Amino acid sequence: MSDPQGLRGILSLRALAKLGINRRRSFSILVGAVVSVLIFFLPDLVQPRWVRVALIIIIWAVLASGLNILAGFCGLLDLGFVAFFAIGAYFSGIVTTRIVVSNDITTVWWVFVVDLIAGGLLAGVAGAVIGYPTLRLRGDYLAIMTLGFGEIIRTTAINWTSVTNGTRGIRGIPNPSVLGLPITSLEGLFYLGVVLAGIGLFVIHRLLRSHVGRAWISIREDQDVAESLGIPTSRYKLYAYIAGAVFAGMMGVFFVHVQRFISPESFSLLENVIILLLVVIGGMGSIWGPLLGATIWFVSLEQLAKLEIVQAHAEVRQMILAAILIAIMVVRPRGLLGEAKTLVTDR
Amino acid sequence: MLQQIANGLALGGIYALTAVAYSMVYGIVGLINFAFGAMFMVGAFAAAFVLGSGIPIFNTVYTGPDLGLGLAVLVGMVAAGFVGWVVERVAYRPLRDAPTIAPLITSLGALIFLQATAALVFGGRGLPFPSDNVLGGSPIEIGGVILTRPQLTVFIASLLLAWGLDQVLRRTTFGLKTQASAQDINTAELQGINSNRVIAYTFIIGSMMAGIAGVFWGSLFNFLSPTMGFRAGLVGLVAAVLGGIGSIRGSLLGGLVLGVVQSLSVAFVPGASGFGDGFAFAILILLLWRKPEGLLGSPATSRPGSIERPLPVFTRMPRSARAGRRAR
Repeated sequence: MSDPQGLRGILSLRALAKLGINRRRSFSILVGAVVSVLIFFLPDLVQPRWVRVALIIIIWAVLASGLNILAGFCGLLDLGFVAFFAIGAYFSGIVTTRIVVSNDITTVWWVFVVDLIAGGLLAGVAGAVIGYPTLRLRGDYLAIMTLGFGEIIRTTAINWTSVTNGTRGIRGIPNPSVLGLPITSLEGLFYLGVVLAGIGLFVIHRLLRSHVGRAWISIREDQDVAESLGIPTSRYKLYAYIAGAVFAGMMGVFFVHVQRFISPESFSLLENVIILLLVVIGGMGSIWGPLLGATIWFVSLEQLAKLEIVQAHAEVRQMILAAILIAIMVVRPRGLLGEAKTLVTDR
Repeated sequence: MLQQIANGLALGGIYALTAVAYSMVYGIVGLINFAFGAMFMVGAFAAAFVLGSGIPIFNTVYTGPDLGLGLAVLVGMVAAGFVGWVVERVAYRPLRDAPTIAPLITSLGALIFLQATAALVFGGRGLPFPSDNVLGGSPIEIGGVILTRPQLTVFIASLLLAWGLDQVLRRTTFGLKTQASAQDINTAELQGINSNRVIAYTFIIGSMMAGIAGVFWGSLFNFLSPTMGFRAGLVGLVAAVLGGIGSIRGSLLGGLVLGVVQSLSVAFVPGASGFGDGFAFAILILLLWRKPEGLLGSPATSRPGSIERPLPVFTRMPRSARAGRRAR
């Protein structure tokens, strides 16, 4: 089915061309249709644990896409990105357990939607606050400063026990409910995740085709040239922070309702490193890169868990993954689908 | 108060050594080598073994000979240096011409790999660091300040090491080569300097410093674990940036300042003990915001392009232009 010659019989190219759809485009439409059908029937095709893996892949792929806006398209290396994820997750976790559950309004149709938007906006505000003082910094200094922000958010989550319940975390967070129907099944959550990820990737795709996206890429390629061309680089960097943070915050809200439990453990520097790895494995500055990276990473995590030695010693899994990571970087330093020619730290 | 400052200085000495490691490598290749956290741990484990401590290797406890602290520091140093050399060979050298993000990622990979390996080999639990007859003696009182022997030793030794390294970099041929490579690696090569070798030595020396810091950390807190280097490494990195990364003296100052601030904040700010490292990062962010080149770093010592040099401003520029200014 992947052979474009075979398409001629299926689709009348001339008729399609009149509609403005050329061969290349009809091919990608066909692939898109096949993938959509596959995704739609995925819960029937594979074991439940793979549906779970797919759900995790979706969450982390969108999260990594958010970081991709910052690191891949705008060239801002952020090592504290997981903080935005944490803000969204904690916001929704606290609000739903404190207000929604205690007043028993879980079935109201707008709760999850409002949460999603509010969590995203809150993370966006945090992104602006964090982005502002870092606008003067470049490259490695930026990385360290954002790393600091991430750690501050995490230590706050650990120590502000009256609100976040410290290291014990918050339990009993309900599953999301859409249109008044609580979605508790794995399949339901998977489809909801697919819808959210689809919207997210579409928005990112459109953003990159807009003047904002072009400004980001020009900043990544050469900030001085961008500035000399009249692009207000500081403002667009701030936009990148806000956009990335909004995606992370929204995924945080979704994540916390899938996981139904939240603790500072989920937002350590290691988590942030993994998000960055997903972006880098797939290739910075590619829309599909984070999805590919997340798929490779979590499928190998799941497969490795089958090995006897991994079951006996959990550390082996980390060892193997770290070794794979180094190997990928050595062989393809720009990632598998990498497009980004330079990061601002380029020498 | 004085007591807290003294405690902080001993802790700061360790941070300073780790910071020196980051600084050296950053100064020459512009890479934040996160793997130093693992060298820290390697040094501590190697030293604990030759201090006669029982180290479990695949659940069998092996007891090493007790060689005394001096030799233990040496062994820790050599072990960390060796691991640093291997990591440089495998994970950084093939990436010399890659975008700088690539070695940053492999350094994180190396950190995770080494920590996981240590957790596999030594078991995930923490172990006590053996006390030693040099360090195990009674505390010493100087002017009303009580210092334990590890604290005093660690502080003095850290200062001496950082000073010695600074002298080496300033006065020896090797130091000159390093400085030349740090300023411009291509020109240095044209002058006949084998920059690959210089870079390898820098990694080895940095790893040795991190390894020694690990040994000192172990003797100060009487504890070692496979992940001990992670947080300590981060704080060392903060110290390096605080002092101006790339400058050895700056790193020393940054480490000491950070140690004292942490010690004081834990003692005098109520409820601060849990926030420990959070304070370090808060200071760092404030400093970087107002003075991005660090305490002692001049914009020229950090790598060009890594930071925006402030333009001499005589008239107030428009807000947007000021935020993104850069001199070239």
